[in-house]
Amino acid sequence: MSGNGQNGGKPSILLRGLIRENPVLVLILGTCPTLAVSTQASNAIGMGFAATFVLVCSNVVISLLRNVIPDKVRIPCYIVLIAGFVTVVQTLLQAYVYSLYEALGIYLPLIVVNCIILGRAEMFANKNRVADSLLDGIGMGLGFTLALLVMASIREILGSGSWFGIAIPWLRKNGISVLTMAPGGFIVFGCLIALVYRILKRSPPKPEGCLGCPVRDTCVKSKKIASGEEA
Amino acid sequence: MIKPVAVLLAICIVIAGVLAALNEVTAPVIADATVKRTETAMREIMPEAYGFREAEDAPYGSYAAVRGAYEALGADGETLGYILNLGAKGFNGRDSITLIALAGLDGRILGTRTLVNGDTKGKGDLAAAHIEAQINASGVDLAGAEAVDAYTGATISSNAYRAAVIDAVAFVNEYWLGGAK
Repeated sequence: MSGNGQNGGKPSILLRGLIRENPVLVLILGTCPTLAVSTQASNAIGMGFAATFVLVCSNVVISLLRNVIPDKVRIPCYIVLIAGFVTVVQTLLQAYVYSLYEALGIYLPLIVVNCIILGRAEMFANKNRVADSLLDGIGMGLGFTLALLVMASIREILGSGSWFGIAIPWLRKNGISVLTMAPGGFIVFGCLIALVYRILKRSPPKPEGCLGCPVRDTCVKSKKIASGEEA
Repeated sequence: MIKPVAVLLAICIVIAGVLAALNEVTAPVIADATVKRTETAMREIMPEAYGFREAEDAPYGSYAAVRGAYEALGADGETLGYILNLGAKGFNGRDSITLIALAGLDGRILGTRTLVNGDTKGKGDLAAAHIEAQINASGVDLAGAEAVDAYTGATISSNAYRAAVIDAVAFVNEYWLGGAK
C-alpha cells in the first residue's frame, strides 16, 4: 500500500499527532518514559526532541526501505535501525550535552523499545511514502514532546515550585511533593487524558439499549426483557 | 531464505559503519570531557592541592575498582593525600557507578564524591548519599570500609560502593604505604 497516509492530506498527517492522535494522551503509548522523565520541564524537552529525532529518522529510513525489507525480518530490521539512531543521539548528547545525557539516564537507551517509534514504523512508515512518513514522524514526535512538556510543567511547578529550574517563590516552600513522585505522575497523567478526551468530546463507547442504562438494575422493564417476558 | 538474511546483514553493516564513524569524531571529545570532570571533582574534594601527580606503574590489575591513582601535591611539592578514580559494578553493569575517593596520609579514606551514578534513579542516589555520609563523617580504614552499612532497597548499589572503597583503601596501603594497615 502506498498513498497519502490516511484521510485529510499532508497538514492533517502533521497535526493529528498533536492532539487528535496524540501518542501519549490518546493512543496511550510511551507511558514509561512519560512518567519517569516528566518531573522537570527541561528533561521533558530533551527527551521529547531526542525521541522526535529518532522517530523522524526511523520513519524516513523505514519508508525508504519498505519495498526492500522482507516481511519475515521486518521487526529485527526496524529494531536495528532504531537502535542505531538512538545510539547516535546518545553519543552526541554524551559528547556535547552531558548534563542532559546524565539527567535522561537509562531512559535514553530505552527509546529503542519505545512503542511509539516501533508502532509508527509498523503502522505507518512501512505502508506510506517518505514525505508522509516524515510528516507523521514530526507530528507524533511533537505530540510526544508537547504531552511531556505539559505534564512536566504541571509536576515541576506544583510539585517542586520551579519551572525549567527557575524557582517560583511561594510554591518553592509550599509544593505538593507527591506530584514529583510516581503516584503524582499517574494522577497528572490521568487528569490530562480526561482533559484531552473532554476537548475531543470523546467518551468511552456505551452499550446500546438497557445494557447502557444506569438504572437497569432497578428497572422493571429491563428485568422483563432479561427474563424474556418483553421483546 | 537468503534475501531476508542478506538484507538484515546489510542493514547491520551500514549502521555499524555509521556508528564507527560517529565514534571516531566523538570519542576524543568524550574522553576530554571525562578528564575535565575528574579534575574538577579532584579539585573540589581537595581544594588545597596545587597539583596532582598520576601514580606510575600502579598495580591497577590487582584492584578491580581502581581506574586511576593520583598524589595530591602541596605548594612545595609535598604529598597532601591520595586521590583514586574508582569504577564500581552496580545494577547496570561494570563502571555504572564512578566515583573519586580521597585518602589521607595514613591510608584512611576521608571522603568520596560520585561522578556518575548510572543505577536506578532515586534509590541509587539515596544509596550513594547514605554511604558517602558514613565515610565522610570520620573516614574509614579497611575494617571501617567493610563495615559500611548498605542502604535498604539498594543492596547492589551499596555493595558496589563498599567494594570500590575497600579496593581504594587496599590500593593506597599497598602502593603508597608499603603494605601498612
